[in-house]
Amino acid sequence: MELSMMFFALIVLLVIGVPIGYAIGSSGILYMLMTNPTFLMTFPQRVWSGTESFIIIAMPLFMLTGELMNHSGLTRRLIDFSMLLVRPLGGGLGEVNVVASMIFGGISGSSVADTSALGSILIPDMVKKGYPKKFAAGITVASSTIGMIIPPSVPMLMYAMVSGASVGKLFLAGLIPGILVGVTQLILTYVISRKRGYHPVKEKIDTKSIIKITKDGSLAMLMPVLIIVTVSFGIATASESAGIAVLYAAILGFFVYKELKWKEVGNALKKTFMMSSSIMIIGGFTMIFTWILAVEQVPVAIASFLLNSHIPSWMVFLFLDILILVLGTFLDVTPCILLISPILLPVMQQFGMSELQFGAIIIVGLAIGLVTPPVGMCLNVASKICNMEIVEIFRGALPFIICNIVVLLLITFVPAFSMWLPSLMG
Amino acid sequence: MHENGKRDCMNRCILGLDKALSIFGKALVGVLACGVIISVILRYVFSIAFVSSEELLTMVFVATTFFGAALGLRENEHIAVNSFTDKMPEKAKRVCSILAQVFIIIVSVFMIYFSIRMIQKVGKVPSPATRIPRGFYYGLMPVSFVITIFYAIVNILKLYVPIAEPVKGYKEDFELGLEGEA
Repeated sequence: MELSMMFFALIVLLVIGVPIGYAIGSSGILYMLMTNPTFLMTFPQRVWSGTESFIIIAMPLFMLTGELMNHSGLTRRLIDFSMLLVRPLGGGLGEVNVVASMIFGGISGSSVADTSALGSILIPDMVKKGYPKKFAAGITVASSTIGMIIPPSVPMLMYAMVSGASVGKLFLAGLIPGILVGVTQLILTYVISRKRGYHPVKEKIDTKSIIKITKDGSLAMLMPVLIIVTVSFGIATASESAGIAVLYAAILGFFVYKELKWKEVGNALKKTFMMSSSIMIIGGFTMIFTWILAVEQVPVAIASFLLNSHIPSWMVFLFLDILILVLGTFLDVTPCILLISPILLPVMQQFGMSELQFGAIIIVGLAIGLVTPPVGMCLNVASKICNMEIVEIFRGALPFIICNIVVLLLITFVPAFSMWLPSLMG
Repeated sequence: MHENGKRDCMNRCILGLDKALSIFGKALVGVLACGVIISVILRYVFSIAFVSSEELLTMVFVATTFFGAALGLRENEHIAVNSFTDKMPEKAKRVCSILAQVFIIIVSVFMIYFSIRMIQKVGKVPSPATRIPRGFYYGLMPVSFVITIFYAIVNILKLYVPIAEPVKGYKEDFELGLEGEA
């Protein structure tokens, strides 16, 4: 009864627009008042424990890295580098969009940042080169979903916080699914572009330019490689690795690309402060929610219900995918991870799914939510860039989102796609 | 005239607090980044590791969360589900907006009251690495939630009296996009 009231209160508060963290806090207070008011003594302690984590320091530092790189003129350099990479295929800006998203994702760790940075340059460029606006915006938002799948990934850090999974192994679990989404989208873009005649005539490029573009692009690409290698092989913790990434981004911005200004560093610090706290305050209040679920043994009850109902595990897994896709259309990525992981992870573990596979599924699934109306953050950003209705952009993105759904099903039913790389670590 | 003078004074106070928190937040993130970088260099280059640095950096991070959340209320940076309220008529939207702030105030009052109780109970216990009394760290909660309540009241007042908009000082993601388009 108390639990139902808590969930009901949470839904009502979310609907009336109470910020998610405070909605969780309010419903938690209601539960404690109804069950045992002495529980309230532990209320601030649980919120505190949800924010007190050395590993999660990596989150603001990765955000800061992305901000510094954005202000260092990295985006244009990455686009030029991606153009060079797709040249042998005879590809155009559609393919460049996907390749640049794959590289950019390894730097920013955020899909929204990817849509904003790449979309602001590529959508107008693509329209100028004769691509329909709907296609240009569609491929931009769809490919930006790769940003939060390819490591480093801010949502993965949040999942690591609630699940206790190893950050290094999680990064590796997301690598193959991220590359798969990219490759399938790349193939589809190539096929569509070839059929509709979007591919440009190859222009000549001199060796000097090739060397410069390769140097600039490789220096940027070195960062995700550095992060993945150091974290995954236990050379450095996620926070230390993020610290190295900040230093590397600052050196590139100030001394190599020479485009970073001190004023922009200040702005990047402020933006990081605000973004990080808006996520972490939800993380703090979610600890109350997690504690209540544990006290009430909700995951155990759901798992025993499903096990006693003799529902085949494939059906449970399929239901998980559908649930993630549906929730992703209404809730933002981080709150969704923080809210559903404590309930569903123990249930899925009962069905033999590992925490790493569950992490990969939830990240790939929720990335799709970023490009589906009504709460598609990437759609909103793209809509502001190209002045198009979000539903129109969604229609343009739909063929490419199917690639994401195929990968989601693959990692759900073939664990090796997410588990093989982490298993190499032992 | 007297009313206008009062309003100007109130706006100056609000903007002053905004600026102070903004500078404090930038400093916290700066210290966090520099602290991690320095400890990495000390550990890997000079093989020196400070146990206390991890604890101090974690506390800096906790401070960014609580104070950032308070300022986030003023700058409307909190993550919320707006798809339902966006479709509501203006009057209902206003009621929901006030209700949202009221719930924030309720949660903050509970946080302040019980965190003070917590400090009274375990505040003198020293932290494991730095031996600083835990109460010193836990003090971040009541202070930041008092600021949260202040901003929640400002947000309610803003619906009835003109209050200066916050100066964020950075561009939103979509604004960066528009800049690129131009």
